[in-house]
Amino acid sequence: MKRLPKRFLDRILTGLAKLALPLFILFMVSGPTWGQPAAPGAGFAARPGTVQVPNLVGQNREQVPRILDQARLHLGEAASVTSDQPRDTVVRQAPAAGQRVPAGTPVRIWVSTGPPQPNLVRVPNIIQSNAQQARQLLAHDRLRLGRVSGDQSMLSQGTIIRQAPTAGQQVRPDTAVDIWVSMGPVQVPNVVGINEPEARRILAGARLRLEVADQVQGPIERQVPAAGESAPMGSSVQVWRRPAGPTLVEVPPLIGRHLDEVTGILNPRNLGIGQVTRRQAQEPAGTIIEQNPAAGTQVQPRIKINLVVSIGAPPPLMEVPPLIGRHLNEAGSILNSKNLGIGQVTRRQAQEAEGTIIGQDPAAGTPAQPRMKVNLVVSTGQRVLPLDNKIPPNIPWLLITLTVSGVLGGTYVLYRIFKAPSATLAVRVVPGKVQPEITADSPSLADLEVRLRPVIDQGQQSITATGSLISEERKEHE
Amino acid sequence: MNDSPITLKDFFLFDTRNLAQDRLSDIEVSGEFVTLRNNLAQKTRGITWPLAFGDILQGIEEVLKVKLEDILVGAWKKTRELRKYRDPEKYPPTETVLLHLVEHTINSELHPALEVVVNDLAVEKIQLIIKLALNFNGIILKIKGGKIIEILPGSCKGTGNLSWGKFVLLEEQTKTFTLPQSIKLGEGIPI
Repeated sequence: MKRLPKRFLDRILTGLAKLALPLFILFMVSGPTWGQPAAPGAGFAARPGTVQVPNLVGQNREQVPRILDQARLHLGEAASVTSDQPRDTVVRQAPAAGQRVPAGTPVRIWVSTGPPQPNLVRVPNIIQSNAQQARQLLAHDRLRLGRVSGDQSMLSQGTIIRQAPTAGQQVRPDTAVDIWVSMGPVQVPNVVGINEPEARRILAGARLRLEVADQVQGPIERQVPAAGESAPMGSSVQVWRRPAGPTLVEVPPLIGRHLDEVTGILNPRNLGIGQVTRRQAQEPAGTIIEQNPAAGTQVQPRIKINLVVSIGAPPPLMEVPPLIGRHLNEAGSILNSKNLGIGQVTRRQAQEAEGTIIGQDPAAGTPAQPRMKVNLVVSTGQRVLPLDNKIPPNIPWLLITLTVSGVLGGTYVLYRIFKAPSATLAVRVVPGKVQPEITADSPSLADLEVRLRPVIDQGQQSITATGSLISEERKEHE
Repeated sequence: MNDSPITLKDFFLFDTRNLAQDRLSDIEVSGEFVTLRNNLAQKTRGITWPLAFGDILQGIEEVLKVKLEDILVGAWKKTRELRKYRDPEKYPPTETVLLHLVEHTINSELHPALEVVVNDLAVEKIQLIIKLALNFNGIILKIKGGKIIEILPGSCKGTGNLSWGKFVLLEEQTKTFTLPQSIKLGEGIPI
């Protein structure tokens, strides 16, 4: 290598020395961040090796590491604080934005957890109040009235019948509470006797709905609720219709049939048995002797056919049997066997033994109606006196008369008590009482009062519910 | 609006004109009814009864005059949950408590009867049974001073029947209906 002359080296060094001062000044002016853009505000105060802290407040915490990295800083501790700023927003930093710090300095940040959680409030019970009262009640508890809807109820119009959230729930202040208010009751119009489309129109006018409960076609014959009653607005009126005309059926002949056969005859024709009356007739018992409607009549289905049924022929006329000479004890069984009875019994002293029948009325052989009474004269026997006694002249006739009267009266009373009444009672039922009307000839039955006595029972009750029976309790003070 | 209380007669829509005549006819020719009439004839010393069962049914109207509210309150006041409202210290008489009841069913069985009375002597009893199952929803009870004083309206549906022996005489199954009005219980019924 060729050596450079010493004079040439001195000239280079001298030139470099002359350049040193301007270069130093230029370095101080341009700053120490080689290859880096100059920080705003950086000027002559910037120190070599320091960086300016960027502003992080207002930034989302996820952006912070990137910003710090660009500023040749790194993230230090991140603390959480409540703030009115949105959640995860940086609300404070240290060192503060704009400070110059050595590169690599950790920057501490405080991140918002969102606005402070408000205290929850309890929803009051506003059922049965009106909307205006509810608005005041809700405002008192820092709540507000939400959506108002109508619903079916018999409570007066505008009364709150449901609320959401329900009473007792814990909610944030200013929560809206939706309410459902009663649309109030309406009076149910009459739709019986008219057809379904017209009934639907009438009910719609009354703000009610029609609900048909059957499948037949025809005019309405029954409605629930009945006309004139009150029903919740918007509720349904259930109706049942009777079949229209074309489906008439013919009543079959039943006279001469036995009652047991009738159900089998009527059921296939969609008819039923109505009132059954029993009457004595020549036909065998159980035989139909009359029917209403008559055979061949065209009737609506499900009509009931009223029937008169024979209970058999009346018993044949009897003749009064001969009883004279018989003992009174036999007379009862003899007469009963012929469906007759003992009438008035008169006792008379006679030659015949005591108890022997010495007279009868009607006489033997007389035609007798069933249950007729036969009056009898019975011997009391002949009084036998001791041979050595004579009838005292002072016979106590009064005592004898009273005794005989007592015996006869007692006999009659016993007869009244133990005789088998044969009268028929026609009983008419009125609520709570049956009043008898005596149709037979025996006045003794007039003493009888026959009635039906209702025995009312309140019954035993039990409740089935899932869980607690009570869902909510609300107190009202006077 | 009708203020008369709802009775079982209303529940069953009881009307003698609406009774199923074919059902009554079946009863009248049944052995049970013949036995009843024979018993009556024996006990009334041979009096012949021309009664048809339809006549007796008219007497049933009387035993159906049980107020529905009595049955309901009878069920509610037996529950343990309501007994605490008897306590006058916790629930003073100046305070009215509104109790909202959950949906529940009240089952009831009643044993009314019709006694045939001859000269004030009951000679025969026609024993009846009424069974009810009533489902309620939205009922609110108003309680004051240990008494149920008012029933506020809710909806109801239920089934019921009235029977004599093996014969079901009346039966009713309602759809859901709204109790027509609040039922005030006067001085209240003690719990």
